Amino acid sequence: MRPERWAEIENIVHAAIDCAPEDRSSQLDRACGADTELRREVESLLSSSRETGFTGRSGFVDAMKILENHDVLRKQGRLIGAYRIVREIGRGGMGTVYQATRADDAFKKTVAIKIIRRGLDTDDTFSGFAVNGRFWRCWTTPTSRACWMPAARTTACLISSWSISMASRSTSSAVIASSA
Amino acid sequence: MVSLDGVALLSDDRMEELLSIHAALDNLTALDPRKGKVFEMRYFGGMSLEGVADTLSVSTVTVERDWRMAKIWLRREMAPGAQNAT
Repeated sequence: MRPERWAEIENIVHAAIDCAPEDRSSQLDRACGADTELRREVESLLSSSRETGFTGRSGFVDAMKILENHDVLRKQGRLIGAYRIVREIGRGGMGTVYQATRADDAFKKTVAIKIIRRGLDTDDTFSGFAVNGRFWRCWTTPTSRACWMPAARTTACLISSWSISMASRSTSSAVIASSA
Repeated sequence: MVSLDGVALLSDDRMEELLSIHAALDNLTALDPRKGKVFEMRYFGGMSLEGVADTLSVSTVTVERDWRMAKIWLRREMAPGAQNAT
């Protein structure tokens, strides 16, 4: 999509959301004119704007919840979301790695969960923690750092990777990555 | 100390959302890099609108609009049967 087209769509969507509900239809008539493709795209986005999602807690909040509870990982059988800790795989200066499996048998999946100790979460730590050659995305701000791994391209590996962001006030960072 | 049950509070749906969002976010970033970045910082980084604005050197109003649009676009992208029109 051309950037100008996208900008046009965006402006119309914002204006439609911000205007009074009873004015929306005429506002869209004016903005889209005879461009039915534009009208369809705008209305499609507007219908998504009425749905919920990403509105409550951020992924960050959930990540913090896990990090605050990371001691529970030492106990076998504990759940992290849909994943159950099976065993500790290894422990080193950087942190501890656990094996976990899908707890609800929705599908067969084994993952590795790595808890990295706070203070060792340098860029090198994360860039060195590549799994199957996939990159970690990282950025740092004065108050926080976040890293995660993009999902695999194939649908078969859709639920294959996840990392957890963290802030400087946290005591550790956690990474969940696919082992397969 | 948060209770141990707190961990299990992360529901399956919630987990799936966190996991499946990456592919959709890649598509958004391809369409509009700044919106992808704003969403990353807000959703994964837990940053405030003001914090994101500072980091990206844009106004808070711009971040607010990007954040709203990114959520709308991603919701549609991740909806069942989404057509992935980019």
